[in-house]
Amino acid sequence: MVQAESIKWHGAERSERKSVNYRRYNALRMSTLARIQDLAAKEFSIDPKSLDPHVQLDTLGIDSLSFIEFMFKVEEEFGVSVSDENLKGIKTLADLERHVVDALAAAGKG
Amino acid sequence: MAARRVAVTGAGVVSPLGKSLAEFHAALAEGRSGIRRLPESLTQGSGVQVGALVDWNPAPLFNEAEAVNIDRVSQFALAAAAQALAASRLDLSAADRDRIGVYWGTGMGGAHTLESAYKHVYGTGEWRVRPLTVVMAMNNAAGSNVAVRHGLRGPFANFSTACSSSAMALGEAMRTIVAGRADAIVAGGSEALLTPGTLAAWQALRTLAPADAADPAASCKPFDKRRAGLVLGEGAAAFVLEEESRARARGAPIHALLTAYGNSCDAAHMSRPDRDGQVRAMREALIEAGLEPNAIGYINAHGTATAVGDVVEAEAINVVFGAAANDVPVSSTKSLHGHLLGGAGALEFAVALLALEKGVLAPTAFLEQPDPACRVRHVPLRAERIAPPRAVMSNSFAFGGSNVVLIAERA
Repeated sequence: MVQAESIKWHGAERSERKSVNYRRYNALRMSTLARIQDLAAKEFSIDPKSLDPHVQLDTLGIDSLSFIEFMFKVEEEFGVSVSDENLKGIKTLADLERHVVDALAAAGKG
Repeated sequence: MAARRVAVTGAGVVSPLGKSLAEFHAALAEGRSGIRRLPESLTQGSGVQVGALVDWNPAPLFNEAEAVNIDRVSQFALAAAAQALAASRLDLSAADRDRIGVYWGTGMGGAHTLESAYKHVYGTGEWRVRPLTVVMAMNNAAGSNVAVRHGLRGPFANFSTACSSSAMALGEAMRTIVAGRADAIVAGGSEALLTPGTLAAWQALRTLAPADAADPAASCKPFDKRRAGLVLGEGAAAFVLEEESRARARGAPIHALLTAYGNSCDAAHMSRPDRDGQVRAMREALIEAGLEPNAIGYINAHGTATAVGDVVEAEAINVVFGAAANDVPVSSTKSLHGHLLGGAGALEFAVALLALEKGVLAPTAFLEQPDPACRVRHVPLRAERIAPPRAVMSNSFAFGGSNVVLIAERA
């Protein structure tokens, strides 16, 4: 009995947390992308309006060293860490945003 | 075929006495000191009291990202090099930039970057350091930034011989052009090491002057009986050196010819200067220029205002110049702009050019009581005006025993 109640309790909490998180998640995505775009505009001296989140960063002339420094600043800004493994898959600001949002959610910072 | 000669066609300065060649020369002519009490944020527990800071704002030359991604020592270098290139009117877009190089000098490189990285690691215990730390702090970053910014793909070298670094950069650049290995070289040096940790290291050497009680601006007194040590400074100076016939063919402004470069090592002691090493460097330069000592109309001394250094240099000048030592004016302008260490040789070459071009001899400021052990023909207190001399000499003698002497002649 005790065991079943305990399971139910945890499950309820989880599902409630999920729906709250879903709304916050969407809000977060908006502000996260805006903040990332703002950082990128400063770091690469690019007009924020011309920063399409889906364009490949290397086509903007952003080399790997500049990108790694930029990642460092993004991690500082959001207080998260993106693994080397995940770093390889990041080609656009939209990719980056997804990883940051996931990292924030995982860290309970959402 | 006549030997290739090297013309100085442009100069740029970032200094405690102003951020252009014109401002720098004006301050020298007025004998205005850039030495001040340093702020507590820099001195902290080091005990250092005075220094010569550049009044620096990265904008508008550097955007927000560059201001934090390029170390101060490289920002100074880029600013000075841009001034020198603009003044030379060299059209880089039309030039063969495979034949244009960069020769730079700096003692410590990106000291601010390195110190902030260490401060973070040891101060917070968090081993998370900026990815740009290495490329910002490395000793060749300043020169490399200049090469990258202007696409100068010719010979590159970076010299780090403490206080003779940038004088060596100029001398070696001259030799490279004379040897036909480059048509032009942006040569100079920069230093930006006024950080709390570096100040503490210098203070430990017991070689820095305390603040003058009456006037902190007068804390550095080379050749004076009251001298109490050197005062650290920061900044940069850059020159465009060009093969003379090319410079003349394009109608370039020619400030001077860099005609000789003496280089020797004391091989005696890590910090105590050696008269004979300095004598060898001055003699080598005179021989290369093919000049008798009495052809030199001004010597910019190394003159750091240390107890031993000033005496040794005065003795060396007397050995080399003999009777002419009574007549050749000598000054140490470190009394005004402080000691730029790796940037000193280049900045002081700009002082020597002021004498050569305009006959304005910048003074050894605050020299009220000349030390009889430093028996040279001083330019005390205020600038002097003479007929522009035929040739001038600039001395740079470094820790580690490296001695560099440059001679410039009228074009």
